[in-house]
Amino acid sequence: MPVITMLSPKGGVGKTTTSLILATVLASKGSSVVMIDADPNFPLTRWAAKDGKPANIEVVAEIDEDEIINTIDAARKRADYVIVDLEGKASARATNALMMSHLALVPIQGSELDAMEAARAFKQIRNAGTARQRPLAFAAVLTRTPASTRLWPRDLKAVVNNLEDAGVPLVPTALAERGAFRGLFSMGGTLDEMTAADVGSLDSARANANAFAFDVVTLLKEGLGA
Amino acid sequence: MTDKPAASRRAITSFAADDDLPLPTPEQLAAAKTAGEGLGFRSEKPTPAAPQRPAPKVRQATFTDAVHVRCRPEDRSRFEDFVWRNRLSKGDAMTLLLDYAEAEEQRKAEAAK
Repeated sequence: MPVITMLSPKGGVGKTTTSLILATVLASKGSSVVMIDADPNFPLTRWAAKDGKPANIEVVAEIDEDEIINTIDAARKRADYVIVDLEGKASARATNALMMSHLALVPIQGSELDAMEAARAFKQIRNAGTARQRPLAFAAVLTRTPASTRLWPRDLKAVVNNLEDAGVPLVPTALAERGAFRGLFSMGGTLDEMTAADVGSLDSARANANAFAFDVVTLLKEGLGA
Repeated sequence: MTDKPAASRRAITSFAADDDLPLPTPEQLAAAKTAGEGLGFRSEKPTPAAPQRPAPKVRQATFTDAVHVRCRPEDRSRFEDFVWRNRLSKGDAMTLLLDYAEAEEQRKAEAAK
């Protein structure tokens, strides 16, 4: 089953949030998902320990850079989707996870610094594709953007233009800065279980998450040659 | 972005028929690792320590004492020639000369009896 890896050598760009949003939407559509928590801070493991984790999401903590290959291999045999959430750091763990992935997503916030670090990730994704003699589909994901494109700052627009100029695919739906997404970690569970009393703009957050997951699955189909 | 219509996303595709990626070979992993190290994607595992080289044998000193002898220049020359001819260290040469001297001393003592 498809393996999606979130990576960026820079921390705090939204890898774990992106992983969790994607996993919860896929699970809400009935798919089984294994999330591999490869961040030594284990943020997904802590999320899973709270109430509200769907039964069809399994979280596996794995930080051993060699063992992660076997962990991904075992997970893809028992789930519809495997999502690997790496720590914000360049490591051999990321390289090995890429060797087992169908799609690599690189979250980027709208800053030149994020884009510079993301460039290293894109190069390493290409290296992994070359080493395994099978190209690896990849894309950048814009995270924590203003909800409306009209409010996007100049820096963010410049990053998008640079990615387009460099020929880096971009997931069409950006993940906006939303309290509902942050609330996933503080409250546990999924967006479906939140109420309007918990967070604001919940419907917009759900629509944003659903559109993002749809785009990722579309990319995955294209990457797999479907 | 909320500008996008929030259409139903029910049709999440199943990939059941897709072939799985084969497990990477050790050669492929090594190639990816080498390429990644140039970009900073380095292993966090400690590199195995190199096998320890056998400690060199410490030579025990034989000649641990010293004597300063005032002598005639020709005797010094003879002594050094003797050492060189017999490929001896000066310490071994001294031992040998003492052995000869003591043997001669004993021989003379026995002859006098």
